[in-house]
Amino acid sequence: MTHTAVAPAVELRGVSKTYATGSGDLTVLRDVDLAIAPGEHAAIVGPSGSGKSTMLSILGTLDAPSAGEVLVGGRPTAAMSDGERSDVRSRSLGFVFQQFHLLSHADAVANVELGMLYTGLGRAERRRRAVDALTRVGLGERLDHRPTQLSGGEQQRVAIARAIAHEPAVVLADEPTGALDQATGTAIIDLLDGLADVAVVVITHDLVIADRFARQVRIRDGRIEADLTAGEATAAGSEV
Amino acid sequence: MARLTVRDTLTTAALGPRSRVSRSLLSMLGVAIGIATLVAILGITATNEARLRADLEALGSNVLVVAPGQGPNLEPVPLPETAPEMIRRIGPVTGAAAVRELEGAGVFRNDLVPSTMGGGLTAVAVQPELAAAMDLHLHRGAWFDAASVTLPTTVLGASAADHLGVSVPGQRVWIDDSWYAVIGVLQPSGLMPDLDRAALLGEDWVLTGHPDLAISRIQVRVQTGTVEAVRDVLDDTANPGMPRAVGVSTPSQLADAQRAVDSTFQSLALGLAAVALLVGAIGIVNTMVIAVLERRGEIALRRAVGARALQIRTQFMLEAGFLGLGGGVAGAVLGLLVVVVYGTWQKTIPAPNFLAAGVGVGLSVLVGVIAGVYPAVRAAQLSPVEGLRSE
Repeated sequence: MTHTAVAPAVELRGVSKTYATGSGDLTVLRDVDLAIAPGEHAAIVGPSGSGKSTMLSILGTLDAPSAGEVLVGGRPTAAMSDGERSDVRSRSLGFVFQQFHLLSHADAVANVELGMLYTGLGRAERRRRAVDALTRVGLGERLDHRPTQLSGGEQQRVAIARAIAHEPAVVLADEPTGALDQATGTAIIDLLDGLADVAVVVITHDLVIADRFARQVRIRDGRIEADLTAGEATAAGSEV
Repeated sequence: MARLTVRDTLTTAALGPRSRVSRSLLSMLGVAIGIATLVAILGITATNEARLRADLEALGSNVLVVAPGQGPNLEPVPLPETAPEMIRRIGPVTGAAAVRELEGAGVFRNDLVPSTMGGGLTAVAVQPELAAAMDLHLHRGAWFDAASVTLPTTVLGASAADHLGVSVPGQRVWIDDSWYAVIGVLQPSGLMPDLDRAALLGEDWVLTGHPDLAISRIQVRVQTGTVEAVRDVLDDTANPGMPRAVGVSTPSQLADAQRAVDSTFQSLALGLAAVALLVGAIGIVNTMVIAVLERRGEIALRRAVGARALQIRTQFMLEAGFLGLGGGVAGAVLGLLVVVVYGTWQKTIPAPNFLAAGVGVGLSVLVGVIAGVYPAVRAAQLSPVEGLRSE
């Protein structure tokens, strides 16, 4: 699946990440290879401390690997300047976080527009796309509501709208249901898995959520333990 | 490609101060006080000077004062007795009169008052021409005439008359150990305020008792616009033998003296303004450092959606610049208001310094931006990963 002629949307090649701590080096990721094809939906699942959040930060070029290569749309990012990497994020990547990270003093449209502020799109175009995206996530009626006027699930929908409004190649979601109740979380996963024409990588510690995705990458102690399709995952059981 | 438009940059930078209004206002306070001080002080000193100039103008700027100067050996050189008459012969001179101070001469209500209770009154011998030359007006009684100038008579200044309790002419006062008859009381004089607390005596009479009493100064009135011309020839005319030992001054030098006083006051106030600006800058640094700490999540989010480190830095420096701008504008308006209120209170035309207000606003923006450098650099250096984990 990863050996197609089309370049993967994002790819890790031999990526390791080591943090220097007071009591010596702490290796969080060890020699990880991972390729996410365009349009592919995958879950990265593992217990806390397994290195999955670090993997997402590195996939999103928010953090640099200690060794190995990160490619976005087939382009290596290691040699890029801060500006170039920022441009890659603004155009090709979208982020969804557990804590939503919405600006509390801005309404839903403004929050979604913020996701496109650094893309070079004009004001009017940003607004049009923001309204579009909010409509797609089912918040077309709540454009001028502030985060404090929205429920947790609605806030996460705003965040998803922000992540997709600029039509990125990949949406990276870090525990997107972590702050939500189960029913709301399910709806959010439905929304993410329902996104077409965009690769979606969801990080979770919850196998039930991971099972919803066509591909499951299980990691433990910084290594990829298993890389399964939906059928294989069910057969492998829920022992993580 | 990912460059922000000017409008987007400004709107983004304005978001921070606008979302925390009271804190922003408080952090503007220091700069506002600094700029208000600057604008107010410059305006008030300018108002004072304008008023002084206007006063002198009203009194007539065509007055010169000739006084004894010093010889080459730094000894005082008295003016020749002929000087007043010589000066009167200069074409544009409309009046000139000698004044001689009787140093140590007491002025008392009567001979029973102890000599230590002089009340600071002085006695001066004047020529009768003085009244016409200096626009002296009588409150009561009469000025010296050819007869009374040769007799023990006196014209009292307004305050001196008050002090002595003499309200009407015809009474006697005890001056320089003899009785003098009061023949008149002066109105307060703008040109010669020192006469207010003096008893004026006729020169001819005084010189009979003190034949060696030297001329203290000669008051000269000239036609308008001839001050400079007359000034150039006054020393030669007053003392042809030693022109360099003659001092000539104009009351406008009073204005210069006033300006010197003002400029001392001004430097002090400008120093204060500078200190206030510095404190204001520190206030902005504090506010911005706290804002950066509080908004780590927002900064990280901006980085995640593609903001470059440089754009984050620009945003926070501009935010600080906005705080400076707000403080500067508030301070400039306040300062100008103070000048207007001061002018109204002093019943004169206020001279607000708009240039200083403009420069002050520019200066505050600069102070703000400079104060924003350190917090902005910190914001740009924040790790997005850590920022996203906060909250």
